[in-house]
Amino acid sequence: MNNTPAKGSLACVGIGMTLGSHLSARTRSYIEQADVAFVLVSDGIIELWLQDMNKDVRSLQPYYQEGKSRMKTYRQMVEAMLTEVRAGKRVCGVFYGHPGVFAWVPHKAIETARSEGFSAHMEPGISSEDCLYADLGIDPGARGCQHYEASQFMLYRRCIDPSAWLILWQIGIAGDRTLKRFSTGEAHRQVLVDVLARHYPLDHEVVVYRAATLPFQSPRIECLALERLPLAEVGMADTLAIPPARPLEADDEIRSRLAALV
Amino acid sequence: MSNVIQFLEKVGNAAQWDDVTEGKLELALAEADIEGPFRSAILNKDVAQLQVLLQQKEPVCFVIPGEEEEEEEGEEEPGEKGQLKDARCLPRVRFASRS
Repeated sequence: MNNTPAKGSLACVGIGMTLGSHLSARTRSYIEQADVAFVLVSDGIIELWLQDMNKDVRSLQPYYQEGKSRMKTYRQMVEAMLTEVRAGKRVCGVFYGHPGVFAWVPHKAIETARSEGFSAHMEPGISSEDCLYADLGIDPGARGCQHYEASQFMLYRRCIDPSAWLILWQIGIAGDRTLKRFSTGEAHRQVLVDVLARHYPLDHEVVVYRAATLPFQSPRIECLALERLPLAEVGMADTLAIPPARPLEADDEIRSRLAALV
Repeated sequence: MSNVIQFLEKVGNAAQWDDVTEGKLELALAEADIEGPFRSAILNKDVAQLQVLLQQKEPVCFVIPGEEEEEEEGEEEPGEKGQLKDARCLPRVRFASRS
């Protein structure tokens, strides 16, 4: 029996959000030393930047197509990377932000590579979530913080704690069940507002947020009343941050039990 | 074009550029041999114009489905209804048992 590990390997790395600002030395070396680098980033200029780091940089963008299921797109991206791993190459999947945060493709690629006996590694990066904490001045430890993909949040009943922050990702396609659109509109966002109205007053102030991708750019931080969200301009990279709407509620029973222990 | 990208990288990785004056930025752009239209776009913080000049459009950046549809072959995917498909999803991690 041959126990020699397969030669091909996969590293999925995160380059952070902002060009030049967030790339770690270790991530850069993964990109530079790979035989082939597949890239999926949030700004075309960042893709140009990455092209200088490896002689074989391949964009995953062409797999996206409006009207085509994104699940099919994602599976094709995984297959594109795995085909080169199986061919014995050192493959680097380069993703914006953190490759393991709200990112199906890197997780699936690593899982598949390992299941086939290849070495696979995930190298973390600075995520949009990290930038949000810095730009909005939120400490998730202060009141707690819940994160959901916006469509999943709408499609399933979740137990929301309105005394903590709530962050909804991919609000640009909130409510899209087809997985074939690159945007949804006012009507879909109205449904999202109706779901949120179960927990929050309509005049509750929320924040539409987008991290900066270029160094001289400012993040988008737009405050508006929840009820105004359907009419807001919302893009592919936007996130909704909802501040706590209620004070923390003391659990007197547990407090009494703990007091008795002292 | 590559000098524009190199300049952006230089600005991105050094804190000194955060509060640089317009005059100093203009001088740095000239020293880096950045051509007029690119220079104006950077000075005006005009991302849209810079993307036009570099012939880039906004890429699609969705990387996760809100709800996974099944594969044509009928393979189940992890994550649906909160279930992990199998132990391969957790190759490096063991969760501590509460018992």
